[in-house]
Amino acid sequence: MPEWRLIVDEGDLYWCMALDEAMLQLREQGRIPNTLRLYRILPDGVTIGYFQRVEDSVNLNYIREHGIPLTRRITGGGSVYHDGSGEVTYSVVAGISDVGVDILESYRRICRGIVYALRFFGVRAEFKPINDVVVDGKKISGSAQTRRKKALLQHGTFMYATDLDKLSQCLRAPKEKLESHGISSIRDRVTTLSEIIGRRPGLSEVLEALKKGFSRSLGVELKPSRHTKEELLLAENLIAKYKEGEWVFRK
Amino acid sequence: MRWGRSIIRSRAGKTLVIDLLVDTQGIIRKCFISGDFFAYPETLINDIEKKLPGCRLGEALIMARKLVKDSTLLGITLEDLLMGLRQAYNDAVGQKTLDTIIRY
Repeated sequence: MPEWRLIVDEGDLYWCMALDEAMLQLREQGRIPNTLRLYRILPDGVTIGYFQRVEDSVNLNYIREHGIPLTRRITGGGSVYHDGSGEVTYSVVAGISDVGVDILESYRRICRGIVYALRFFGVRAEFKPINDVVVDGKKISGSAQTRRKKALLQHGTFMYATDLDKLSQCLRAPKEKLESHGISSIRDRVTTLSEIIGRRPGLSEVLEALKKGFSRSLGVELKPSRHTKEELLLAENLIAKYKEGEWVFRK
Repeated sequence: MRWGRSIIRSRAGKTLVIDLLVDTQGIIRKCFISGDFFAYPETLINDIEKKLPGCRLGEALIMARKLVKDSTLLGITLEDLLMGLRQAYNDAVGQKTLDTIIRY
Protein backbone atom coordinates (compact mmCIF):
# COMPACT_ATOMS: atom_id res chain seq x y z
CA MET A 1 0.00 0.00 0.00
CA PRO A 2 1.35 3.46 -0.84
CA GLU A 3 2.25 5.59 2.14
CA TRP A 4 0.83 9.09 2.64
CA ARG A 5 1.51 11.68 5.29
CA LEU A 6 -1.18 12.26 7.89
CA ILE A 7 -1.11 15.66 9.53
CA VAL A 8 -3.53 16.72 12.27
CA ASP A 9 -3.47 20.37 13.25
CA GLU A 10 -5.56 23.43 14.04
CA GLY A 11 -5.36 27.17 13.51
CA ASP A 12 -7.23 30.27 12.48
CA LEU A 13 -9.14 30.48 9.22
CA TYR A 14 -6.50 32.41 7.27
CA TRP A 15 -3.63 30.18 8.34
CA CYS A 16 -5.63 27.03 7.57
CA MET A 17 -6.47 28.21 4.05
CA ALA A 18 -2.92 29.46 3.46
CA LEU A 19 -1.51 26.11 4.50
CA ASP A 20 -3.78 24.20 2.11
CA GLU A 21 -2.60 26.42 -0.73
CA ALA A 22 1.05 26.07 0.32
CA MET A 23 0.69 22.29 0.33
CA LEU A 24 -0.83 22.34 -3.16
CA GLN A 25 2.00 24.49 -4.52
CA LEU A 26 4.68 22.33 -2.94
CA ARG A 27 3.04 19.09 -4.06
CA GLU A 28 2.91 20.51 -7.60
CA GLN A 29 6.66 21.12 -7.37
CA GLY A 30 7.22 17.61 -6.04
CA ARG A 31 8.58 19.00 -2.77
CA ILE A 32 6.16 17.21 -0.44
CA PRO A 33 4.55 13.77 -0.58
CA ASN A 34 0.83 13.01 -0.85
CA THR A 35 -0.89 14.16 2.31
CA LEU A 36 -4.15 13.87 4.22
CA ARG A 37 -4.57 16.79 6.58
CA LEU A 38 -7.27 16.88 9.26
CA TYR A 39 -7.78 20.21 10.97
CA ARG A 40 -9.98 22.40 13.12
CA ILE A 41 -10.57 26.04 12.32
CA LEU A 42 -10.40 28.00 15.55
CA PRO A 43 -12.08 30.34 16.15
CA ASP A 44 -14.95 29.44 13.79
CA GLY A 45 -14.98 31.11 10.38
CA VAL A 46 -16.67 31.31 7.00
CA THR A 47 -15.22 30.58 3.57
CA ILE A 48 -16.77 31.27 0.19
CA GLY A 49 -16.06 29.61 -3.15
CA TYR A 50 -13.59 31.04 -5.65
CA PHE A 51 -16.34 32.27 -7.99
CA GLN A 52 -18.86 33.47 -5.43
CA ARG A 53 -19.92 37.03 -4.72
CA VAL A 54 -19.70 37.82 -1.03
CA GLU A 55 -23.13 39.48 -0.81
CA ASP A 56 -24.86 36.58 -2.59
CA SER A 57 -23.36 33.84 -0.46
CA VAL A 58 -23.04 35.05 3.13
CA ASN A 59 -24.95 37.17 5.58
CA LEU A 60 -22.30 39.87 5.84
CA ASN A 61 -24.10 41.86 8.55
CA TYR A 62 -24.32 38.85 10.85
CA ILE A 63 -20.71 37.86 10.22
CA ARG A 64 -19.46 41.38 10.93
CA GLU A 65 -21.62 41.83 14.01
CA HIS A 66 -20.27 38.61 15.47
CA GLY A 67 -16.67 39.20 14.40
CA ILE A 68 -16.53 35.93 12.43
CA PRO A 69 -13.49 35.68 10.14
CA LEU A 70 -14.34 35.46 6.43
CA THR A 71 -12.18 34.55 3.48
CA ARG A 72 -12.34 33.27 -0.08
CA ARG A 73 -11.05 29.82 -1.00
CA ILE A 74 -8.93 28.99 -4.05
CA THR A 75 -11.47 26.23 -4.73
CA GLY A 76 -14.88 26.66 -6.35
CA GLY A 77 -18.16 25.62 -4.78
CA GLY A 78 -20.32 27.27 -2.16
CA SER A 79 -20.05 29.08 1.14
CA VAL A 80 -19.08 27.11 4.24
CA TYR A 81 -19.42 27.73 7.98
CA HIS A 82 -16.47 26.13 9.75
CA ASP A 83 -17.37 25.46 13.36
CA GLY A 84 -14.06 24.57 15.01
CA SER A 85 -15.81 22.93 17.94
CA GLY A 86 -18.17 20.80 15.86
CA GLU A 87 -16.53 20.30 12.51
CA VAL A 88 -13.32 18.77 11.21
CA THR A 89 -12.03 20.01 7.87
CA TYR A 90 -10.01 17.62 5.74
CA SER A 91 -7.69 18.30 2.87
CA VAL A 92 -6.21 15.87 0.43
CA VAL A 93 -3.15 17.11 -1.43
CA ALA A 94 -1.88 14.57 -3.92
CA GLY A 95 -0.70 13.86 -7.40
CA ILE A 96 -3.60 13.84 -9.86
CA SER A 97 -2.48 10.47 -11.21
CA ASP A 98 -2.50 9.06 -7.65
CA VAL A 99 -6.15 9.95 -7.03
CA GLY A 100 -7.78 10.01 -10.46
CA VAL A 101 -7.44 11.92 -13.68
CA ASP A 102 -11.21 12.10 -14.18
CA ILE A 103 -12.40 15.01 -12.03
CA LEU A 104 -15.76 13.63 -10.94
CA GLU A 105 -14.23 10.22 -10.19
CA SER A 106 -11.63 11.85 -7.96
CA TYR A 107 -14.37 13.69 -6.07
CA ARG A 108 -16.18 10.40 -5.63
CA ARG A 109 -13.09 8.58 -4.43
CA ILE A 110 -12.12 11.20 -1.87
CA CYS A 111 -15.70 11.80 -0.67
CA ARG A 112 -16.06 8.06 -0.13
CA GLY A 113 -13.60 8.53 2.73
CA ILE A 114 -16.33 10.53 4.49
CA VAL A 115 -18.93 7.87 3.67
CA TYR A 116 -16.68 5.17 5.19
CA ALA A 117 -15.94 7.32 8.23
CA LEU A 118 -19.67 7.66 8.89
CA ARG A 119 -20.05 3.91 8.62
CA PHE A 120 -17.91 3.55 11.76
CA PHE A 121 -20.72 5.31 13.59
CA GLY A 122 -23.30 3.03 12.00
CA VAL A 123 -24.56 5.76 9.70
CA ARG A 124 -25.42 5.06 6.07
CA ALA A 125 -24.37 7.99 3.95
CA GLU A 126 -24.01 8.45 0.24
CA PHE A 127 -21.93 10.51 -2.12
CA LYS A 128 -24.15 12.97 -3.96
CA PRO A 129 -22.36 14.27 -7.03
CA ILE A 130 -20.75 16.61 -7.50
CA ASN A 131 -19.35 17.37 -4.10
CA ASP A 132 -21.70 16.45 -1.27
CA VAL A 133 -22.12 13.58 1.17
CA VAL A 134 -25.69 13.22 2.39
CA VAL A 135 -27.60 11.21 4.99
CA ASP A 136 -31.30 10.81 4.22
CA GLY A 137 -30.99 13.61 1.69
CA LYS A 138 -29.42 16.05 4.14
CA LYS A 139 -25.91 17.36 3.65
CA ILE A 140 -23.37 16.36 6.28
CA SER A 141 -20.24 17.12 4.27
CA GLY A 142 -19.31 19.34 1.34
CA SER A 143 -16.06 19.36 -0.63
CA ALA A 144 -14.28 21.43 -3.22
CA GLN A 145 -11.35 20.61 -5.46
CA THR A 146 -8.84 22.60 -7.47
CA ARG A 147 -6.14 21.31 -9.76
CA ARG A 148 -2.79 22.39 -11.06
CA LYS A 149 -0.91 20.51 -13.78
CA LYS A 150 0.20 17.56 -11.65
CA ALA A 151 -1.37 18.03 -8.24
CA LEU A 152 -4.82 18.49 -6.77
CA LEU A 153 -6.17 19.91 -3.54
CA GLN A 154 -9.55 18.78 -2.29
CA HIS A 155 -10.79 20.08 1.00
CA GLY A 156 -14.12 19.64 2.70
CA THR A 157 -16.12 19.51 5.88
CA PHE A 158 -17.17 16.76 8.26
CA MET A 159 -19.96 18.16 10.40
CA TYR A 160 -20.04 16.03 13.52
CA ALA A 161 -21.64 18.60 15.81
CA THR A 162 -21.71 21.89 13.89
CA ASP A 163 -23.97 24.58 15.32
CA LEU A 164 -26.50 24.49 12.49
CA ASP A 165 -28.45 27.51 13.70
CA LYS A 166 -25.30 29.59 13.50
CA LEU A 167 -24.49 28.03 10.14
CA SER A 168 -27.82 29.12 8.70
CA GLN A 169 -27.35 32.59 10.17
CA CYS A 170 -23.95 32.97 8.49
CA LEU A 171 -24.70 31.55 5.07
CA ARG A 172 -27.00 32.80 2.39
CA ALA A 173 -28.27 30.78 -0.53
CA PRO A 174 -29.75 32.45 -3.59
CA LYS A 175 -33.55 32.30 -3.50
CA GLU A 176 -33.59 30.22 -6.66
CA LYS A 177 -31.41 27.65 -5.00
CA LEU A 178 -33.76 27.05 -2.11
CA GLU A 179 -36.87 26.98 -4.24
CA SER A 180 -35.67 24.15 -6.44
CA HIS A 181 -34.93 22.11 -3.31
CA GLY A 182 -38.49 22.74 -2.24
CA ILE A 183 -37.29 23.68 1.25
CA SER A 184 -37.47 27.02 2.93
CA SER A 185 -34.12 27.32 4.68
CA ILE A 186 -30.55 26.14 4.72
CA ARG A 187 -31.15 24.75 8.21
CA ASP A 188 -33.46 22.07 6.83
CA ARG A 189 -30.97 20.91 4.22
CA VAL A 190 -28.08 20.08 6.53
CA THR A 191 -27.46 17.69 9.38
CA THR A 192 -24.69 16.58 11.74
CA LEU A 193 -23.45 13.26 13.00
CA SER A 194 -24.51 14.24 16.49
CA GLU A 195 -28.07 14.95 15.31
CA ILE A 196 -28.25 11.55 13.60
CA ILE A 197 -26.82 9.31 16.33
CA GLY A 198 -28.29 11.24 19.23
CA ARG A 199 -25.02 11.82 21.07
CA ARG A 200 -22.08 14.12 20.61
CA PRO A 201 -19.08 12.11 19.39
CA GLY A 202 -15.67 13.00 20.78
CA LEU A 203 -13.06 14.67 18.59
CA SER A 204 -10.63 11.77 18.87
CA GLU A 205 -13.36 9.35 17.82
CA VAL A 206 -14.11 11.52 14.79
CA LEU A 207 -10.44 11.82 13.80
CA GLU A 208 -9.97 8.07 14.11
CA ALA A 209 -12.99 7.37 11.89
CA LEU A 210 -11.77 9.88 9.28
CA LYS A 211 -8.30 8.33 9.22
CA LYS A 212 -9.73 4.87 8.69
CA GLY A 213 -12.27 6.11 6.16
CA PHE A 214 -9.76 7.93 3.98
CA SER A 215 -7.17 5.18 4.31
CA ARG A 216 -9.76 2.81 2.90
CA SER A 217 -11.15 5.03 0.14
CA LEU A 218 -7.69 6.08 -1.04
CA GLY A 219 -6.11 2.66 -0.53
CA VAL A 220 -3.17 4.14 1.36
CA GLU A 221 -1.37 3.77 4.65
CA LEU A 222 -1.37 6.99 6.65
CA LYS A 223 1.81 7.86 8.55
CA PRO A 224 1.48 10.55 11.23
CA SER A 225 3.73 13.43 10.26
CA ARG A 226 4.34 17.17 10.56
CA HIS A 227 4.49 20.09 8.17
CA THR A 228 7.94 20.84 6.76
CA LYS A 229 9.60 24.18 7.50
CA GLU A 230 9.14 25.10 3.85
CA GLU A 231 5.38 24.46 4.05
CA LEU A 232 5.02 26.57 7.18
CA LEU A 233 7.09 29.40 5.73
CA LEU A 234 5.14 29.45 2.46
CA ALA A 235 1.87 29.38 4.42
CA GLU A 236 3.02 32.36 6.50
CA ASN A 237 3.66 34.27 3.29
CA LEU A 238 0.21 33.41 1.91
CA ILE A 239 -1.75 34.47 5.01
CA ALA A 240 -1.76 38.15 4.00
CA LYS A 241 -3.66 37.35 0.79
CA TYR A 242 -6.44 35.58 2.67
CA LYS A 243 -6.89 38.61 4.93
CA GLU A 244 -6.93 41.18 2.13
CA GLY A 245 -10.19 42.79 1.10
CA GLU A 246 -9.01 42.69 -2.49
CA TRP A 247 -8.99 38.89 -2.40
CA VAL A 248 -12.09 38.36 -0.25
CA PHE A 249 -14.21 40.89 -2.16
CA ARG A 250 -12.76 40.27 -5.60
CA LYS A 251 -16.26 39.41 -6.86
CA MET B 1 -25.86 51.76 -20.80
CA ARG B 2 -27.80 49.29 -18.71
CA TRP B 3 -27.02 46.37 -16.45
CA GLY B 4 -28.72 43.04 -17.01
CA ARG B 5 -28.67 40.04 -14.72
CA SER B 6 -29.53 36.37 -15.09
CA ILE B 7 -29.67 33.68 -12.44
CA ILE B 8 -29.50 30.12 -13.69
CA ARG B 9 -30.13 27.15 -11.49
CA SER B 10 -28.38 24.15 -13.05
CA ARG B 11 -29.61 20.56 -13.09
CA ALA B 12 -26.71 19.66 -10.79
CA GLY B 13 -28.08 22.09 -8.22
CA LYS B 14 -25.53 24.88 -8.67
CA THR B 15 -26.22 28.54 -9.24
CA LEU B 16 -24.79 30.69 -12.03
CA VAL B 17 -25.19 34.46 -11.86
CA ILE B 18 -24.22 36.65 -14.81
CA ASP B 19 -24.16 40.44 -14.82
CA LEU B 20 -23.67 42.26 -18.12
CA LEU B 21 -23.36 45.97 -18.78
CA VAL B 22 -24.57 46.66 -22.33
CA ASP B 23 -24.26 50.03 -24.10
CA THR B 24 -26.85 51.72 -26.32
CA GLN B 25 -25.21 50.16 -29.41
CA GLY B 26 -25.81 46.67 -28.02
CA ILE B 27 -22.16 46.10 -27.19
CA ILE B 28 -21.18 44.39 -23.93
CA ARG B 29 -19.05 46.69 -21.79
CA LYS B 30 -18.65 44.68 -18.60
CA CYS B 31 -19.18 41.04 -17.65
CA PHE B 32 -19.21 39.40 -14.21
CA ILE B 33 -19.78 35.69 -13.71
CA SER B 34 -20.29 34.23 -10.25
CA GLY B 35 -21.75 31.25 -8.44
CA ASP B 36 -21.02 28.03 -6.57
CA PHE B 37 -19.99 25.94 -9.58
CA PHE B 38 -16.54 24.63 -10.49
CA ALA B 39 -14.30 25.33 -13.48
CA TYR B 40 -11.04 23.59 -14.41
CA PRO B 41 -8.88 25.53 -14.78
CA GLU B 42 -10.42 28.36 -12.74
CA THR B 43 -8.85 30.96 -15.07
CA LEU B 44 -11.57 30.10 -17.60
CA ILE B 45 -14.10 32.35 -15.88
CA ASN B 46 -11.71 35.29 -15.72
CA ASP B 47 -10.88 34.75 -19.40
CA ILE B 48 -14.56 34.91 -20.35
CA GLU B 49 -15.08 38.05 -18.23
CA LYS B 50 -12.10 39.69 -19.98
CA LYS B 51 -12.95 38.66 -23.55
CA LEU B 52 -16.68 39.45 -23.73
CA PRO B 53 -16.48 43.24 -23.38
CA GLY B 54 -16.49 44.68 -26.92
CA CYS B 55 -18.72 41.88 -28.24
CA ARG B 56 -22.34 41.90 -29.31
CA LEU B 57 -24.46 38.99 -28.07
CA GLY B 58 -23.80 36.70 -31.04
CA GLU B 59 -20.05 37.22 -30.87
CA ALA B 60 -20.11 36.80 -27.09
CA LEU B 61 -21.82 33.42 -27.35
CA ILE B 62 -19.33 32.21 -29.95
CA MET B 63 -16.44 33.47 -27.82
CA ALA B 64 -17.75 31.79 -24.66
CA ARG B 65 -18.24 28.52 -26.50
CA LYS B 66 -14.72 28.69 -27.87
CA LEU B 67 -13.17 29.41 -24.47
CA VAL B 68 -15.04 26.62 -22.69
CA LYS B 69 -13.94 24.09 -25.30
CA ASP B 70 -10.53 23.46 -23.73
CA SER B 71 -11.79 23.59 -20.13
CA THR B 72 -14.12 21.65 -17.88
CA LEU B 73 -17.18 23.12 -16.22
CA LEU B 74 -18.60 21.15 -13.31
CA GLY B 75 -21.98 21.84 -11.76
CA ILE B 76 -23.05 23.95 -14.72
CA THR B 77 -22.99 23.15 -18.43
CA LEU B 78 -21.93 25.15 -21.45
CA GLU B 79 -25.64 25.47 -22.29
CA ASP B 80 -26.33 26.98 -18.84
CA LEU B 81 -23.59 29.52 -19.48
CA LEU B 82 -24.90 30.43 -22.95
CA MET B 83 -28.47 30.68 -21.69
CA GLY B 84 -27.30 32.85 -18.79
CA LEU B 85 -25.46 35.19 -21.15
CA ARG B 86 -28.50 35.45 -23.43
CA GLN B 87 -30.86 36.15 -20.52
CA ALA B 88 -28.56 38.72 -18.90
CA TYR B 89 -28.10 40.46 -22.26
CA ASN B 90 -31.82 40.52 -22.96
CA ASP B 91 -32.44 41.82 -19.46
CA ALA B 92 -29.98 44.65 -20.13
CA VAL B 93 -31.48 45.63 -23.48
CA GLY B 94 -35.01 45.21 -22.19
CA GLN B 95 -36.03 42.43 -24.56
CA LYS B 96 -37.40 39.64 -22.47
CA THR B 97 -38.37 37.24 -25.24
CA LEU B 98 -35.69 37.99 -27.79
CA ASP B 99 -34.37 34.77 -29.23
CA THR B 100 -31.18 35.43 -31.08
CA ILE B 101 -30.29 33.14 -33.92
CA ILE B 102 -26.63 32.38 -34.06
CA ARG B 103 -24.66 30.19 -36.40
CA TYR B 104 -21.93 28.32 -34.56
